Amino acid sequence: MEHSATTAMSLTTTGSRSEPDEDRKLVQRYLDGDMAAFDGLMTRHERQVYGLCLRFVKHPDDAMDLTQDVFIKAFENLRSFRGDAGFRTWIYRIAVNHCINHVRKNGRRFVEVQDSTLTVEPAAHRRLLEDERRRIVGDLIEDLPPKQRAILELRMHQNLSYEEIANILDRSVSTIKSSVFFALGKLRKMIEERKASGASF
Amino acid sequence: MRMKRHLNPPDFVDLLEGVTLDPWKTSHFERCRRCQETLAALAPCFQEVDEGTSQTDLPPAPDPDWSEFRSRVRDALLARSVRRSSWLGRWRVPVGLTPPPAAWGVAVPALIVLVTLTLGSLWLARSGRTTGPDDRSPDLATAELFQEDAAALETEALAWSEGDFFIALNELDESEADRLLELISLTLDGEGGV
Repeated sequence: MEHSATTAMSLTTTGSRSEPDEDRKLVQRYLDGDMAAFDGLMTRHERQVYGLCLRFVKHPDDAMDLTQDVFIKAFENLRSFRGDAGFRTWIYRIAVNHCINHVRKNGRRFVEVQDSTLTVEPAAHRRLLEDERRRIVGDLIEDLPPKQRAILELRMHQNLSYEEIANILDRSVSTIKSSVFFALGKLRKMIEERKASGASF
Repeated sequence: MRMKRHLNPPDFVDLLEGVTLDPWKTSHFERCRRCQETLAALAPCFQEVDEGTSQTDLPPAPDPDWSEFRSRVRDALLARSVRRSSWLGRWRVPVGLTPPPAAWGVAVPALIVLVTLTLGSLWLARSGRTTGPDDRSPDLATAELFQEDAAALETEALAWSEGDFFIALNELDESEADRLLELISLTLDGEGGV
């Protein structure tokens, strides 16, 4: 009972407004030479940063390398963290920029997927088709300009608010929303072209 | 007048996200076929993306070893910091009792000027050999050029912040750093010898 109460409390704290304050304290402690604060900051953000990088590169090892670069860059520039935006916003900004640069430098990585429309049960077949469609949408998102792709990832997968995304990318909320609008327009066009060419969707 | 304006892109995104618009926008939307068609065209795509990005399975991979990852980052940071401090260590001069910030305040601008003059003179000496004929005597022309360019270089160097200078120093590789040290000592020897 006590254990579940503690768990519930810790879950509440994780999503609470005290999060930025906690980050700020950890940053200050790290700058004061407390190495335990390093672990604290890493533990709080490594998974999300890794998750974001993985959305961009789709390969765990590459995502780990990108995450490592992001944290090195962050800790080396920690003195420039002014604390007016949250640490999460700040490190996401570094991560998004790093991922965008990586994508621009390395281009799009194609993953060959075998045709999966074989003789299977109707329900399973339907599920396969849905999976396939999701995969295609995922692939099409990779074809979007890196910034539009980043915005969609941050919104749809990382579940960040438009305000947070605007802070991370240093743009206005309406610019971010307009980017989503235009990205959706582009995706729609790509899906239609795909259908017109006779490819599966 | 206002009622005739169509919804703008952020409004459509708000509608897709289920956000309620201003009353005048809502009433426009209810009567505007064009805006309704735009939303209808985007809605399935938005849903696909929403489902696609939230449900697409990422490549199956074991959960990373986070403690190992942290130690990798820590080691990398340490290595970079050691590398940086070893470069800075090369430039440390025995300042004796002078407080370090003051010593740096004097030494860094002096070093910048010295390096600039050295490089400038070398460059001028080299370019002086390859320039075409001049009406004036070669020595006079070179001396004038040297004075003008050295002054320009000196101004440029002084415009650099100390931060820029250290960044530039940090970016030198070992051979470049050795060459720079060699040039400085050559200059110092030359000045002392003349």
